This record gives sequence, structure tokens and C-alpha cells, in this order.
Amino acid sequence: MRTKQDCPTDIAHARLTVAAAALAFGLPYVDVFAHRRLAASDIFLRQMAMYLLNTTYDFNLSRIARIFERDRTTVRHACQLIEDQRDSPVFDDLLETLEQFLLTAPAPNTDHEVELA
Amino acid sequence: MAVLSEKVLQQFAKDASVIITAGAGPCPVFARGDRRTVATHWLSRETVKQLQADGALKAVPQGFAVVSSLAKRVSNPVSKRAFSEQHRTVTDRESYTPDGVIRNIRRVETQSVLRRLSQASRAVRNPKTKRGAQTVTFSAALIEAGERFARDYNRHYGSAVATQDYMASGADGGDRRGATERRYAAQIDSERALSKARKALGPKLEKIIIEVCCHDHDLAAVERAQNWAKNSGQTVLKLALETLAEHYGTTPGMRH
Repeated sequence: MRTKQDCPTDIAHARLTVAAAALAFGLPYVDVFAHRRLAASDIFLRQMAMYLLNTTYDFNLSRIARIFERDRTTVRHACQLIEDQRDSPVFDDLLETLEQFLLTAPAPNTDHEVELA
Repeated sequence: MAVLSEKVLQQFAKDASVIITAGAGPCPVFARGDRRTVATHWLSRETVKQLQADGALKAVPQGFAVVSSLAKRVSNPVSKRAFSEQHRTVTDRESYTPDGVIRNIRRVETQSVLRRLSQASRAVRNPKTKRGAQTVTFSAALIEAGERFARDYNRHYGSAVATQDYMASGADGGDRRGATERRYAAQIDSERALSKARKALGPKLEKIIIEVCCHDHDLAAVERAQNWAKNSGQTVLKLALETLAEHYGTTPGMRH
């Protein structure tokens, strides 16, 4: 079974996504990967990151679940939650911008053996 | 409110929504300010600023909420009001303030303070429940005096701000010549009538009459504003109305 240590580039993508979402919503960067109770705003940040990884980088739910060390159904719930909120044009515009930003961001260099985890 | 549709504002009012303005970017709107739930709407910062500038929002601990007056207005839309008008005598009229500001108000005739007091006075006390009638009764003469003062008050402040002569030419036994003079004469007359009534009332009693008869304010609200004892407003109002009834001579058979 693959663990998150096996996919350092996935974690780099996830951290970039969380940082971008935090920047867009003016929230401080928090360790959303940690296994502890988070504030509502931090949970929202994690859900955003899960959704963006799914829509922008085409990561499947299991892969995202492995990065965040959560259940696959938790990721599915997060994606549904954010997708529902895209009905609001203001929120949709912001997500469009974030997706564009993440798509144009440089991909992590896999040539070097960099410990990213 | 052009910034947001009435439907959205209705939902804000219904959900007691709170707009969270912390952080940057668009502002989420949560029902009852509960951030554990999904945001019902997302508003841009510009929209929130516009709503604030329009006076549509009030600050609450978590962010901003719709002011109660707007919430009340949008949750009671014109369509519903039209339905209620089938059952009530609703009239539109203007309310004047001493500063000359006019406010358009819609009022249920039977529910004005004076009318309610007169109806309650006529009601018979139920011997079982000991409810129904009041201890302070308001006769028709008192109610008439109150309504007459309200007419004088409205005529005076209305004439202070009116700039049009609505008299039809050739009708009402006159023409448009001397309209300006007539307007000023009417203003002077109304001012004289009102000042006489106010003089008869005195500075203490005129407050309650103006608040209740002219502005349709609730008696309990007046009691609170004036720091009077609870339920004492009816007695003070009756004293004031009796003075007015004496001034206007509305009591049948009595001439002063």
C-alpha cells in the first residue's frame, strides 16, 4: 500500500494549494494535515484544498485521502460541499482564479531527491 | 436595495444570516452566524461596503447582519401587504417631524393607538377572565380631541414643506391668483391653531400627545422614553386628552 511518504510531489501540490487558498481568503497558513481539532475556517481551508486538488490536478479521491490522511468519503464530502457553494458567482469567480493560478504554477521538480514530506 | 435582490435579502432576514468579514476576499454568509454550516451565500467586499453605505447592515460580534427595519420590510413584501389590505382599512399618509422631514407611512386605521384605546374603553370586562375592559376609559370626546390635534399638527408641518397649490382653477370658488398668499395664510392659520393647542396642553403633556396621536408611537415606548412607571401612560394620556377636549370643546353639551 502506498503511503504519503511515497508521493512527495503530491504533498508539494497539496501545500501549494492550501497556501493559495489561505492567501485568497486572507487566512493564516495552518497545518491542515495534522490530526487535531481545527477551527471552522481551517477546516474550510482543507476542504478547499481537497476540492482544488481534485479539479485542478485531477487527483482521485483516494489519492487526496492519502495525502491528508483522511477517509476517501471525507474527501468526497468536502468536494460536494465546495461544489455546492460554486452556485454563488462571487465564490465561483474566486475559485476560477485559484484554479488558473494553480494550473500555471511550476510543477515540482522530480529529478532531484528532495525530501518534501 | 439594488445591490442585492429582494429574494436574497428575504433569505438573510429569515435565516438571521451573518456576513463574516474577517480575512480577505469574498465574504461568506452563514445562517444564524453558524460557521459550522455551509455558507449560504458569498458576497464580494464591494457589495458588503455598498450595503454598509446604504445603512442596510449593522455590526454584530461575528461580522454584519441585516438591520431589523430592512429585514422587517423585505419579509413583509408588497404582495403580502396587498393581501392584508383586503381585511383591514390601510391608509397611506405622511408623517411630519418638527424638522420638516416627511416620512411616508402605511397605517392600519383600526390599530392606531387612539382607536385601540377607544375600542378597549367600549369593551365589557369579562367577569371570568377579568379581562377586556380598561380601568382608564377614553370617551369619544377625548378621542376626537386627539384626532383633531393630529390634524392640526399634520396641517401645520405639511404646510411648512408643501410648495404646491393643489386647488383646481375655477373650482372651490376661486382661481390661482394669490396662491402664494393663500399658502402663507393657511400656514399662519395652522401654526396659530397648533400653538394655541400646545399652549393649552403645556410643555409636559404635549410630548405624549405628539408621540401617540401624531406619530402613532406605542404607549409603552413613550413610557420607556420618558422614564415613567409601567402602564402609567394611559393615565397621563387621559389627562392630556381631557385638557385638549376642554380646549377644542369636543365634549357634548359643554361650551367654554
